Amino acid sequence: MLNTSFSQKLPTLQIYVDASSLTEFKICPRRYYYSIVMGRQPMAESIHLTFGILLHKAAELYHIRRFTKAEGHADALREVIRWLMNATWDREANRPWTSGDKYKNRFTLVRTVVWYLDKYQEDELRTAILKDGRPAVELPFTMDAGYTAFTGEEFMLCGKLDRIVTFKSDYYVADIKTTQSTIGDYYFKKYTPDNQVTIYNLAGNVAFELPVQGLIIDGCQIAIEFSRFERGLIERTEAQMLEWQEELGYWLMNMNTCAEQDYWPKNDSACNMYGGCPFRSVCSQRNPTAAQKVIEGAYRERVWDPLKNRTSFE
Amino acid sequence: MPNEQDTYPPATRSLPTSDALSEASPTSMQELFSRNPEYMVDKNIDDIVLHMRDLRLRLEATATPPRHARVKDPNAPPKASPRQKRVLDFDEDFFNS
Repeated sequence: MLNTSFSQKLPTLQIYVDASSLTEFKICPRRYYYSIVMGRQPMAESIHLTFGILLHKAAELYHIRRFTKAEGHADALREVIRWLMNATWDREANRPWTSGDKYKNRFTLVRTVVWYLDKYQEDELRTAILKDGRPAVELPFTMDAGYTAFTGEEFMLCGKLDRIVTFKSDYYVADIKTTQSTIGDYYFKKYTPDNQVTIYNLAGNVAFELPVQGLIIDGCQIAIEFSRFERGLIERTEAQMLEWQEELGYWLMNMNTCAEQDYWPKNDSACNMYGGCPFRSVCSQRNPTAAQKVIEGAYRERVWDPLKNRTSFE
Repeated sequence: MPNEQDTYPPATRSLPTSDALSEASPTSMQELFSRNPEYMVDKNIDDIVLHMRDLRLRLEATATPPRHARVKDPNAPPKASPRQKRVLDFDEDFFNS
């Protein structure tokens, strides 16, 4: 399947780069090669990805209905739950979607959505209005990264913002994150520095021309018996943004070099990070031939095209 | 030993039932979650919402705040340190052991 985010001149060079792709490359070029360039992922579904996408989509649907259709909380929530029950029904097997995870499953998802939307139904965050009059919900973006690839193509940053909101007369990008851990101050500290937060902040300012100050993250703790929510404010200074943009040049240059030479070195200091690399079983093979057999036999194809599937891994 | 956050409140704690749920007498959660959503009517969806809200109310009624959010009572008597050395009463401790 064609990945439209890649160069038309060199198929291994990504031109349209989103936060997830860039994060993968920063973690490990080999991991990026397997997951983004080759488009492989473990056979088992990533429950975190599925759960996150459904939760984002549910919140997005709710805000659209409340804003553009002027529906009250009860009506909007009913339609969101109806959509969610449908989205989590396996039509082929004619049974509910089973995640196999005791924390993130159909029941905890519906519970989380009801509790979350109930809690924030009269939210002090207001959906912003874009310059063209549209509500700032579900916002795909593409913007110039400020660097040119050796093929002559301009690198672009892309992705999708959930929502831009106003809070005390300032603009912020609103996002939702899920975790199984208890959420305290330390939880929000991990977003400074953070690749995705910086890109989203940049997109709010550049792609949507709003003076965005940072992100407001609704952290959702998903436990077996309850869901709990905490809100955190993550800001970025102009100096931080400028530094990130300068460093972006370094990473894109490396991405460019790896693709040009078709050489994707391992960062073997990162194999145990983030819960363990999903490609460890490939990299731990005794020789490249064995590794190739594993990546082709034990992993399935998943084309990560940020121009089509604009969401994040989280 | 399960993590505290996995069992909040403890699974064994008996939960009260909220009035809203008993008055509405909705379809059971198990039945709603096993039903094909194509055949669901508005009331079924409302019942799911009602069940979820009832669950939250019952948990709130019995839950204790998380450890990091608990406010200390300034009038509470100081707890004896568990590491405090005991003075042995030779007769009691030795002969009763």
